Amino acid sequence: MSEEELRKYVNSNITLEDSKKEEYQKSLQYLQEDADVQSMKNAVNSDNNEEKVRLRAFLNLADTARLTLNNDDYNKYHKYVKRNLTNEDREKASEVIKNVENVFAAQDEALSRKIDAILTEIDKDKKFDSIDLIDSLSNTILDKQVKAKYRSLYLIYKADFIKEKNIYAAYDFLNAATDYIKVIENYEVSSELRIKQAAVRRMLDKIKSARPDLPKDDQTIDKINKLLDKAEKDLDKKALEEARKLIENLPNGHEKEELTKRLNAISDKLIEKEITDLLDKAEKDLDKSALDKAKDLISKLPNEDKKRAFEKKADEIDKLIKEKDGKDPNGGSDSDDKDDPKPEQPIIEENAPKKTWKTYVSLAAGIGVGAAVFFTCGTVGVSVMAIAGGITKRLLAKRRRKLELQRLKGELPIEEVEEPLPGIKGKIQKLKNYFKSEEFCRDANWFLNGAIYTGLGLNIASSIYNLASAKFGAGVDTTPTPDTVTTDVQPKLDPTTATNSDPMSGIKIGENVGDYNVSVGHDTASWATSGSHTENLISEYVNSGSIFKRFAVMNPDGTVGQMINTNGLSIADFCNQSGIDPSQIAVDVASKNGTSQAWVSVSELVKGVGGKSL
Amino acid sequence: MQVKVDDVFSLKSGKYITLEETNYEQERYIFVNKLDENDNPSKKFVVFKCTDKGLLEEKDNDKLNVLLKIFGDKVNDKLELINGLYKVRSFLNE
Repeated sequence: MSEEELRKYVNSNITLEDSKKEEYQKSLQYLQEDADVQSMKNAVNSDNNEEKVRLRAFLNLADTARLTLNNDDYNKYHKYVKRNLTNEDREKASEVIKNVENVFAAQDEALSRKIDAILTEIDKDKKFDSIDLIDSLSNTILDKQVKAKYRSLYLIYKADFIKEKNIYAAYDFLNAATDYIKVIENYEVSSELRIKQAAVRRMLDKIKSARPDLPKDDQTIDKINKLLDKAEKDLDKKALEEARKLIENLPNGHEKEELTKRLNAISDKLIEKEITDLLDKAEKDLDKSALDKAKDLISKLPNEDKKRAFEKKADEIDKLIKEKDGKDPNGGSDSDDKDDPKPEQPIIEENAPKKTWKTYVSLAAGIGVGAAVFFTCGTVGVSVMAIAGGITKRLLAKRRRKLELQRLKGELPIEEVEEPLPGIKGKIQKLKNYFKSEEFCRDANWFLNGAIYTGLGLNIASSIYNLASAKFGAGVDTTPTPDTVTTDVQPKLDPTTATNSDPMSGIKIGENVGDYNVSVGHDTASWATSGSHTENLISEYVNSGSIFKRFAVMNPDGTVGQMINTNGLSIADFCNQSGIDPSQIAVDVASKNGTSQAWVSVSELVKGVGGKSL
Repeated sequence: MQVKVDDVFSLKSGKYITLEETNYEQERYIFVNKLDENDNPSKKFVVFKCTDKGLLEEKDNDKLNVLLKIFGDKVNDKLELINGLYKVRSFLNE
């Protein structure tokens, strides 16, 4: 019986024989406990025909599994079918199972194609930028044989990628591939993988033999510990540096972390000893250059208490040296004004544009890449890492906590930000009031277009400044203008790379889908770029009249890196400007009224449309 | 004339923009960012003491450690606001 016939039977008026009632009742009970799906429970409770209810219930589960491609639901369904149905029913159910399995196979095929494409690029250019994407894609594959193949490939390529940086970790990856290769039943596939594995192993062996300083694993830790003991006991710098080199070559793990901590602690002690020696020399010989060297080392000390103690000593010695040179150590020098500047009256610019926001934005942009903003204050050269580090750590920690919470809940982070987050509205008003300038609010719109959404870098901040300057002129007009904010950005094109023949040049925010392919799509941006959970889109709703609403730039771990809303910006222009590969971008396709309908990858959009392809 | 927050002023050493101010040990201090030749922010920041005779660069490390902590906290607050702002795409239409 086909699925269609089965559904007809379920929806018909045929009643159940009494002899079968008890049997089906047990099955229903099992289904309720196992499946735990509320809609199925409702169906069970509302219908008197128990056979139909049971069959309807497992068809619902099959539909759920098929629509969501949820492996757990599918497994529950499969388990139920195997345990509870009679042979006759199992035949009826087999059609349904086959359909679900076909969908899973199609998903695996899409993932395999995507991984093959990445591997081809790697083989061609030896650029391993997307190697970690293969890790996440291969883990999503359902079929055990296919998964084994691609997990092996990932591990082999990863070993190749990291061999220069960490040879022991490379060996670990390569050896892990063997476990996957063993389970592959297809002899041709497993042979090919073994050949690739052997080729990479030869490269690793060659590197190792060319570097006799790379110690064997079993001796390494012992040797490092002996070197650290020597460095600690004798304050031996040479032993410390030798230990540092050996530790760098260890594979990442707990042992390396512990040894690194010990190394850093001994390194700090050595630096403190050096500072003490320099201060002693400076004090004994009234030697300014020794004092300056000491001050330089002091400024880099991480421990604030020790730093302050050394600084105090340095200041005392400084006074002694100045006294010796005939200077008044308390200021008002009669010989040299260089270290004792006099107060200076500032000349304040009247009507200067209120552009403190520019400084803050450059700081904010610096945060995103984790770059510490280095504050230097006059000739003292105080590097206030505390401020920059505090800013970076606090904001990054906040963002990290938020992402983690969302992951734990099973939500994908920052996909939809249609409304201001709670508390943001109040903050916006506070910000507006603070800067007291419509000009800031108008310029800030540029930042809201997503370029500095996560503070991706100073280069992006610079491009924003350029755009703002181009739009508003070199000096910002301080006269508030009516607030007709638009997002009509015409980004500068790099004339050497952007061409109208680029198939991606027509994928523009705010414009119609037109000829682009929207026959398939995904519920989330990360599924779109990973090629998983592909669904057929209903042409009645998603078609040439739909619009491209925004672009999401995805990180390899599936989180959103950037959300781009710049009206008129095309994928081609964005990729040329930012250097981001289009395979990392998902496009939000929406109805004419702006309601998001689906996420589609760039490769899906350009596929098979008028001969266009990526 | 007293320099206020947001003011742009010039000294022999160059042009600065005032980001923050605070009082400490009965003295007024400002935290400024040096501007480059195109009036764009540089990476140089200075703490000045405001005296009757003009601005004096603060170099005492003990005072700087305290002042920079105060200014750092204030700057942090602004930066958090800016980061919040980035997440709202439609606030300018309010």
